[in-house]
Amino acid sequence: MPISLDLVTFGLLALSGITAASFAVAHRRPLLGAFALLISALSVAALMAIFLRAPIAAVALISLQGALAAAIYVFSVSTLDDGQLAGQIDKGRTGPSRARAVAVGAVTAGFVIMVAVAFFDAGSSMRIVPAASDSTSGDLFASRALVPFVITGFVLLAALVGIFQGMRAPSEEGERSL
Amino acid sequence: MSMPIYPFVITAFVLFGIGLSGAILRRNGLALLLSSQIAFSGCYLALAAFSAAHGETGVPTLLVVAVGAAQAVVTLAMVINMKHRRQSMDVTEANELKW
Repeated sequence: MPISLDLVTFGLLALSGITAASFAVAHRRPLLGAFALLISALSVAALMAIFLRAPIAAVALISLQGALAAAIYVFSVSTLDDGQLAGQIDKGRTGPSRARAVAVGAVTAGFVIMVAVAFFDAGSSMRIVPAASDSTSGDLFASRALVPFVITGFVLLAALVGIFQGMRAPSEEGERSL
Repeated sequence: MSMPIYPFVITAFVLFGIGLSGAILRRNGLALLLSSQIAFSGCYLALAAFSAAHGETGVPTLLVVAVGAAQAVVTLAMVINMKHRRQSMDVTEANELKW
């Protein structure tokens, strides 16, 4: 594949997304982790909007991750003390156990295999093709994608019930009776 | 603008691997939430790439993003509730089944 502006743009966005993702996973400060999550989501959304012709999904992704980062920020500032905000939440950790190291090694090996498959199989035949317009996407919600749309609505409704159930204040009487 | 699909698939795999590694290695509730969202981002990217490769719209990706939003808010509610109940966000301390 020759070097082009598309390739350079893709490389920069992918690199920023992966770097921010690594930072979000590895960093101990929750506020910086939420900020890194937002940067990673912006990079992925840019890839989706520019190259994959999915601007609506990209906007939804930015809205989701932005709201989540804001919620983590508010929760961290209002609930955690100074030590926890400074990254002392995981204090006392002695390092990964053997089982965890094996799991990480297995995951890494799996990625190497999948990347090899992606390189030598899918890359030779599958290419990005022009997708349908946004108006067609809107029509899909009322036709072919109607059932998944309704199911997603029920999932979100169940999540709303789950939020209220999960946020319920602990009551001693209720805990004993259960 | 015609790019092959494999750079997107590789990026999605790497993002998913980073998120999965974080979910395995970290034990803080907020860190688990961030890691799961990173892994979800990889899934979104792979789904959008394969949708574009088959000439589909972004509608499937949009629906999966909505389900991911449900997962995120429920997980955040669980983390907040755990912090209020146990004064800790260490998920290894939550080792009792309620029912």
